[in-house]
Amino acid sequence: MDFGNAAIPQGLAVTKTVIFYFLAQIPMNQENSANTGPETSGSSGMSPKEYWRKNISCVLVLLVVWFVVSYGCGILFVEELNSISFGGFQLGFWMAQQGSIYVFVVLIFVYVRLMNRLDREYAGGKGDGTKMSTDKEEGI
Amino acid sequence: MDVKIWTYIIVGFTFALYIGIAIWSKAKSTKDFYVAGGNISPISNGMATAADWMSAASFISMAGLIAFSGYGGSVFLMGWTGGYVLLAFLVAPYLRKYGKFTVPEFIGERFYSNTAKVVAVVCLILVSVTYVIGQMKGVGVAFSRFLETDYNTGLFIGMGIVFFYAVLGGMKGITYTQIAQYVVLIFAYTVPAIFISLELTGNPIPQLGLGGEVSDGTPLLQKLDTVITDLGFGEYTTSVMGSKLNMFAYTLSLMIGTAGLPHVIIRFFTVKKVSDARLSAGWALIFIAILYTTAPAVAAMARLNFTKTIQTEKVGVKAGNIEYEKRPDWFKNWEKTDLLQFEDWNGDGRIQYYNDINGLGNARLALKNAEGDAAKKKAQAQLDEAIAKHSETRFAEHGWQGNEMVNVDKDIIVLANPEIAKLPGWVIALVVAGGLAAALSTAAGLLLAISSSISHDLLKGIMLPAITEKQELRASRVAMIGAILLAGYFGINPPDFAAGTVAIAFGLAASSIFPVLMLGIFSKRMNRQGAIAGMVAGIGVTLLYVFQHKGIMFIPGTSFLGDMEENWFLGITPNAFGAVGAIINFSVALIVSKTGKDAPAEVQQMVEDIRLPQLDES
Repeated sequence: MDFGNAAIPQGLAVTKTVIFYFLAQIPMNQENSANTGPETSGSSGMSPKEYWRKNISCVLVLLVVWFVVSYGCGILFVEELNSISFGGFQLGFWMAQQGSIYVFVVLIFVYVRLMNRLDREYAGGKGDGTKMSTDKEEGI
Repeated sequence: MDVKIWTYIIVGFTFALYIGIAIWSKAKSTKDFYVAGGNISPISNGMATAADWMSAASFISMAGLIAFSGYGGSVFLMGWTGGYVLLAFLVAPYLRKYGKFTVPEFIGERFYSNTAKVVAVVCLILVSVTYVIGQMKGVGVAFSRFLETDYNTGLFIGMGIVFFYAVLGGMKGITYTQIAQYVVLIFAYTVPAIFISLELTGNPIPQLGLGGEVSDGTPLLQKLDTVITDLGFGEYTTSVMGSKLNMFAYTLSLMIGTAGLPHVIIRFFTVKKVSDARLSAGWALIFIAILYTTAPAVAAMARLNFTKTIQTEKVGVKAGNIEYEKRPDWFKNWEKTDLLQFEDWNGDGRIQYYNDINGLGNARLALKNAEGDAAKKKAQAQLDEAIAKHSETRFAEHGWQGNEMVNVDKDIIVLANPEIAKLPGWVIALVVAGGLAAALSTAAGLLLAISSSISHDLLKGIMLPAITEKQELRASRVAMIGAILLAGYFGINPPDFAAGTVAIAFGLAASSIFPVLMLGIFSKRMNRQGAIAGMVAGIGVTLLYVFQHKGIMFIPGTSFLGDMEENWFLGITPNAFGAVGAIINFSVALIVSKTGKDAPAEVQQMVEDIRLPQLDES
């Protein structure tokens, strides 16, 4: 039981390290070729670069959860979690056959909300009601 | 009313519905044909995606696979749902923003190369054809078993229906039929599950019934563990599939394969805008989750029901095993199809079904079927060995002489479930219609992916760029007819590997299409050399690994390494190898890309564009 509880943060820490390593790689890639578009657009708006960075960090955080509930709880630490019972289930088994699926559904809807908000923030900087598609106005 | 009449009525009604939809939703332009006009609502597209996605494998085979592998079967549950998270986060929004018709089209333009496009088309066709064979076979089997038609006749009827709505309506016809098919299949799957859960645990919700208690007050899963371990099987709730590494690789392979399946990706081209693509992935997963969270309940309950039918009382007591003459009717029905087979090895007139680890039952069967003196002698030697080993087990003390259920086909779990639970005839008929809906909806989606890659990518894109839209629309219909005939041919002459094809299709998609899409979207500088080398290496290594264990083109006897654990790379089964193929694809692409220049500026600009949100179009 004790081990089971310790295993989750441990697995989380390892996953985080791996993901943050890749996170560190991405902005670099971005800077190298950022000269293809203007850095900022509009007065108060978010730059395309910033939008993309926020998009990536949102996705990475959610993917950590995705990894932990399926590979972490469902496979790697399933024995430890199985020592916890609730209802007629062992927790590890339940995560593998039920829980992870529910979490996946929630994750996508959280992502939809976060991205819609980010899209609005990005669009907000472009001035209201402007009919635009980014490639036409600020493209080349 | 007779089950067969019910089946004719319900299957006939659903088929009439599909044809009606086809007539109503005729495609008038290439945009209609390839992406259903591009204005499907997120919920409708989610529903259509769910039907597109859930094939005969999900509907018929999955619960059976889980029933007989217990916890290890979780790889299918997590793998086939977790892939939607990747699809929503990493694929669908960007390809929707790109806003064209096919997956190879994106790969060709992103990697500024017709070679890349052709390689992508080849990968797509390999994946989709492997996948469609299983669906056609499912249609033929469902017809021949329940309507007692000839297998080929069943197949022709199925082909005819798909022909009607796919050729006439293209993606538009397919979308609306898939919505209807989803409703049919989900109803057909959940109704028997609810009845069985209610009967076994008193809880009408199968997802809760799985954690419920059986009549003697013990939790269902605990009861199941006890019952099957008594018979020498591994514990249901803890048995792993292969090793944990294999389960990890298998799950990963199914997840990234899902996110790389062209027929699923193109469904996201049918919605209006990028935010709709994200939302519709969420709806799709909700609709899929209804079946996928029900399946483990069906699996555990059916395993318990099935085992208890044969082992009625304590193991070791003579009366604990059912008399063969008193077996239930469903047992007799399925014996006719050879999906259940019994041999009375110890001649006591009762059925003993247990985990015969020394293979005594199989050795007896081998001797029975052996032809020629040499073969008989060899089989006898193996039998003697098995008898010696068996005599030390506790089952020998009970007078058991080998497992007597010499064949228990996993597919009967879903198909026979309503009969085992003594449900009325219309429920059985509904399950048949559901299985057909699952197979037909997936087949249609796959056929569209194949035909559009031929008419749009190869013909219009490379060979005859000058053709008009009208000519392209006609070409796409011809390509669709060709694809249906090809699928039908393989359905009538199924290659030996038909049973395992679906898992392999995922491995191929995981090792070829998913990595190249990721590189195309997330690495602006990735060039065509890297992408092409990566795809070829990924799919090549995966195919080689499958072939070396299962035979070249799956022809028995041509494998140069047997399909057994000692020969597997790190204990990873061929079905789970797609994850390794994907890693090879990424590595090769990254290394080879260093030999060429970065992608040109206009391509990098295109990548910038697909990454940004699409601001109000209207």
